[in-house]
Amino acid sequence: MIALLKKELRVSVREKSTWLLLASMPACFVACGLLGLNESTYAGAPRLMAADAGRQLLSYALYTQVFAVMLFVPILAATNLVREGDRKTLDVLMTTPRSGAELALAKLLSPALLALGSCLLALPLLIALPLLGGVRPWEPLAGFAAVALAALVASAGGLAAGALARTTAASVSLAALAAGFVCLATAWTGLGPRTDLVTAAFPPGIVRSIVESEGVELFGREVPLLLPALAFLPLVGSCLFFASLPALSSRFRRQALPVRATGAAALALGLALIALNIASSSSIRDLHDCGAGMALFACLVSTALVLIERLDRGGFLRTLPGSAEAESIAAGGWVRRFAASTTGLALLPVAATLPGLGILLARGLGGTGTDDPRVALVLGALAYAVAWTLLLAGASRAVACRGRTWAEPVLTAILPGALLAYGVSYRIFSHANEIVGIDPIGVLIPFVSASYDSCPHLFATGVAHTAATAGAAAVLWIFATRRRNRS
Amino acid sequence: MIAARSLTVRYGQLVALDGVDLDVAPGQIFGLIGPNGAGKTTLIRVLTGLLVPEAGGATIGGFDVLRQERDARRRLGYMPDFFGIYDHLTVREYLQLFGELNGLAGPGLAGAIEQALAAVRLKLKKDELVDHLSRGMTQRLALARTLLHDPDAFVLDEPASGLDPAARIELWDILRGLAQRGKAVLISSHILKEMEGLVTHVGLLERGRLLYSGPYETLVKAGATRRVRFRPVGDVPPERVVGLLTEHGGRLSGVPGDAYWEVELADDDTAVAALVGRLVAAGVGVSLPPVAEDRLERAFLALTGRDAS
Repeated sequence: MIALLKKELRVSVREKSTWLLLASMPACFVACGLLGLNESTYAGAPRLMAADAGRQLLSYALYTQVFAVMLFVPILAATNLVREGDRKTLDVLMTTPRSGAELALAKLLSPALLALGSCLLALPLLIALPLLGGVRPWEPLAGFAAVALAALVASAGGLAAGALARTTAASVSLAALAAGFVCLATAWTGLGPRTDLVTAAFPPGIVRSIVESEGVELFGREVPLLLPALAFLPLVGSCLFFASLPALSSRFRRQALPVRATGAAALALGLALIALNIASSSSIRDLHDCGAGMALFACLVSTALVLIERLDRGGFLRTLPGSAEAESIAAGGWVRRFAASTTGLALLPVAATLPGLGILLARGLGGTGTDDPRVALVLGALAYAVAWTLLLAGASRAVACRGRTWAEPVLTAILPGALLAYGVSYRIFSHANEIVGIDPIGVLIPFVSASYDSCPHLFATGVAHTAATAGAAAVLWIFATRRRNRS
Repeated sequence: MIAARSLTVRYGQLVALDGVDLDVAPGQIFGLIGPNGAGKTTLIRVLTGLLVPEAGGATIGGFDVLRQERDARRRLGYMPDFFGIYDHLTVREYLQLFGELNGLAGPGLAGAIEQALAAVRLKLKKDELVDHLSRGMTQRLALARTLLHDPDAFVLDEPASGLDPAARIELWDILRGLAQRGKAVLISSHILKEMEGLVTHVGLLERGRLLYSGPYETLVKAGATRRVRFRPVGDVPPERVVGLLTEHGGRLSGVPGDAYWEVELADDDTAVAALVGRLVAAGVGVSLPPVAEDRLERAFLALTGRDAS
């Protein structure tokens, strides 16, 4: 197992662009967060209370780390496994005396360790936070443990996605879906600052928050968060499935059935939870608290992806590395490669506006404006599903202009794209909030909602995120171009 | 050493393997031959434990490849048709990884790596990234990986595809050396000619069924005929030559013309000698064709200064 882990880390670290981005992102997030916290640019927001500065910073830093981990790790884990299949190295590994479980564990740990290694860069900063007040000395470390847990869960989801997919584009798409489930799960376990972030994030705290929290209202009764926590089951199932990797390596349809069954069970569970919560919740805030919006989003995205994958014959998702188009793009000059990548990115601003349109549409169709938030929830989530599908399709297209590594275009396209969408959509939502009078962010994106509640200056930090990420992507791009020219 | 009993594999309606029995004993080089789609790779995947058959089972060194997989894999050296390499590792790191995965460590591992590199003549490249190796070198590295833990059985799927003549000759030499050391070697190919002069035993696979499995010599001698090519030289009319061939029991399989004639005879040196003698006695000069397939290879070896032996 150690040999495998060493190999995984060695190969990943030699993909310098991956390393560069992973190492720089948390530092950028934290640095920009510090800048953003100095002065609020959100109209009417109270200035940061000095006594609470440490706690807000900690919330912010952990939130951004978990966000980054959940964005990167599933994709790294999924593409890692698919590439192993593409290179036929999986077969070779499977004929060594090592067990499937050992291989799976190495695959599970390596992306998580890489991400945690990069997050460690911010640990000295976190440890200094108690000096600012409002934070107990052990809390930053406990928070870091939560990031580690999130990384492991995200990696498991990514591996499951990689097992399902036959192509890198499909694996990236499925990994993003897995990330959606992880978002859902973390929202339920209280990783957002709406609860006591650090306490809840510490593993025993997670269990406590699941079992003993105030819970949600189901059919007029308070129910603990245990039920939504069942969403972890598909991920656990995926991990168990990976213990039987030999069946996986042959990639035949019959043997993929357990994976499909797991995925189907996850979807069914998500849908059942949504149905329960929509039927019983008395307020839109309840829906948010139990993560129904996110579950709906995840289900819709997965359905859309499955449909696209089925219907797409030689289209967006087939623009894969190795295809004639990809080869042609890769052989072209940097202008062509950049243009091909930007084709995907150009979809993102469009995607970012769709949720706002969904909300407005919901308001019109509902006829009662804010009185019927369920319509807003459903249509808003639908709009988000379309938006994310477009985003993923764009990212898949960007894969076509890869350099020497797969990670370059994927990270280049997805990360700034997602954050751009995040910044722009926040702007739209803040207006929608003023016009409509409800909190669509709170309904649809637990993360944004979580930060929104505790960090009123989110827009500034969102813009800073985007700028930092775009900067990192630019560095990555220059690095990749120089490397390609050199080779 | 390598054995399979009643192997059956189906992909939906397609029967990929249909009750295949196979035995490869120590010291044998077993050539698994058949056209594309015959089931060779499926059979190899079952033998290596990568594919679970619908019925039947396989063993390596007496260990079931599915139920006693660790013991079976310790005794197996497998080289797939694609080499299975990591571009970002150096040659030494790559071998180190697979050495450790096979339970080697410390000085034993270092020694095994040196030996394997020497066997495939890659010692000078040990600190190069795999990405920088040529195809032939990559193939040799893959072979070094299979040699590393000194397994008792080798399974090689199309190992010579894409190799230049010298590399193929080197590979064949290594395989013969392994067989001489008592290793069982199973090698697949859809190019029958590749196997000539290398294999000691042959398995003929066609549409998932093993049509023949046994010694190479037995296969080629049983009911075999020999084709002889020649061109008549002199003033004797072609009809007379055809008459002589027919009288001698020969069957003309090629069309007489400017090119060489092709005659099918019993696979017997005496019959061939008698025919040539009869033609010459009747005043027909016999011109024999050059060995075309060897000419290019010999020219290559001569120009590159390599020794074919």
